[in-house]
Amino acid sequence: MNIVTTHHLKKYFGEGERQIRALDGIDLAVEKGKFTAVIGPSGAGKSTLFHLIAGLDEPTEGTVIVDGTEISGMTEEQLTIFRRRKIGFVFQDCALVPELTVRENILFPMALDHMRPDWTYFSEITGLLGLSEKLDSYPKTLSGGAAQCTAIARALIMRPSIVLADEPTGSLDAKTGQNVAGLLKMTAETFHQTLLMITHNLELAQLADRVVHLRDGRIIG
Amino acid sequence: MKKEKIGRIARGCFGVCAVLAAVAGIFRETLPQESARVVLPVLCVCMLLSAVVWERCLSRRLSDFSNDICETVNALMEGREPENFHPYEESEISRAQGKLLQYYEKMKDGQRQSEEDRQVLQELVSDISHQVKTPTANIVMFTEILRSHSLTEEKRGEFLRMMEVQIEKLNFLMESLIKISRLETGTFVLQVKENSLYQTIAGAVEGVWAKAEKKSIRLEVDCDSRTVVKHDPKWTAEAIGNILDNAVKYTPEGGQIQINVRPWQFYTRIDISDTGIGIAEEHYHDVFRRFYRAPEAAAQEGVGLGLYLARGIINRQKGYISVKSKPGEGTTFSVYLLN
Repeated sequence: MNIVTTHHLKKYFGEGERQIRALDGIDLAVEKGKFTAVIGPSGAGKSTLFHLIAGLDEPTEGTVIVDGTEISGMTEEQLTIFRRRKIGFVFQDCALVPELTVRENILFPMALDHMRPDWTYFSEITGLLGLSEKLDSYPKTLSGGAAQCTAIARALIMRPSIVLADEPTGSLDAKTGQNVAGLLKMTAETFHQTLLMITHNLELAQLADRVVHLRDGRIIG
Repeated sequence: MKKEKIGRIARGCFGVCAVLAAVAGIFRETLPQESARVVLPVLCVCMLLSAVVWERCLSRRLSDFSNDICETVNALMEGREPENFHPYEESEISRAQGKLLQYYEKMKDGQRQSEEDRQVLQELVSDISHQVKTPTANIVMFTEILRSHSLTEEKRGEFLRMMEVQIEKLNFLMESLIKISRLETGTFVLQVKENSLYQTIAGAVEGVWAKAEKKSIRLEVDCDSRTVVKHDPKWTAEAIGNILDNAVKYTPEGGQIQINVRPWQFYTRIDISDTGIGIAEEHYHDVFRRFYRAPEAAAQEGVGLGLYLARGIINRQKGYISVKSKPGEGTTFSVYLLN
């Protein structure tokens, strides 16, 4: 069973001779409950692929199906709700709200959706990510690793269909990066979450169940 | 939508009337008697009417909500797409439908999982029969030779030794398979507690010491004897032992194996580096596959279960293993154990 399927996905920027083919016919299937890593050098089209799967950008051609729904037909409002309920995001720069505490940051997607938090699940996640003692701290007081752990917890709290991580360790030093990537894998496995990680780091990609190599907008293996 | 609008208007009317009635009540002394006699009852009637409309709308909405929920459950039971399905809306029904569908998917996952398990078991049986075939065929062949040919004592001994090797191979395969089946079926519980990592590594090293000595391989361990990590000592020693066993196997005579332990923020990293034949980058993933043997490893004894088992053991403890290598120069396996 696949959570994400893309068919002949193409994304071109510009026109004529200056046209850049960021993605040139991607057929990708992300299996449910598995950890898939998309690896490739910079300019391979990784981030474009990430944006298209998340519905943050529209493809030039082709389709993206997430959890059985084709996202190209959605209105902007539906896309916003779709992203909130179906996708957990982990960005390179954490993207935490500085005015909110760790607890509030993690629960932020739930507040947006007027959902009552599941406190058992909340304490399980925060316990595994080593955040139990830091729940009342503000992002600026956190280390890079702890900030990214908060972002991971926030991505998991809605029990999304898929967690999308774009270079989740990009802004961390190698050591912390390995730590955080390990925790990301471990928590996703613990809660049976599907994880799609985009990275250029071969060492991190090894943690995945499946590695997809991207080069010049095409899948090469 | 229309009902919601009527409900909102009724609520508004009720509110306005209530405020007006309250104001009229407060200033009843200053109000002319005549108008008070008219205004107050009118306001009360308005309030009553709007309350009735409001209540109707609410109960209508509630009944629509429960009808939609029932329809969703019916559809799921019949395996079809529910009518009035609004997955991406800011409404109560949309949220509830979404959660119901999620629950349904989770239940289906269970079925899918048992189907997958059956497939895994089938593959395992086919893999095992494939692995058992060659040594068994050899044993049958040697038995035939021993039985039907008159051989010298020396030749006889040679065949018996060859048979012994095959039996040992079968035995080793059997033991590994038992461990794997116990690991995969979850029939054993890992005792993950705070234990001395130094002791665990010492246990693993002990198992390969003699083999390394035989090949004049230098084995060095850099680990603080006070390092304590949450892990199951017996099974972790087995995992590290398997990696070490491979290191000794694929490192040429006079080589070196180094174990480094580094405590990190969340994980403790154990690097096991050798100066062996190495692994090509495209096979980093393959080496952990069950029964995978690299072509360049064919010369060595083995069935391709050691690393598969090692990864399984470490993953079950919420840790992970990664590999980095340069063909011809050596390999480093890094084991990460959660602190």
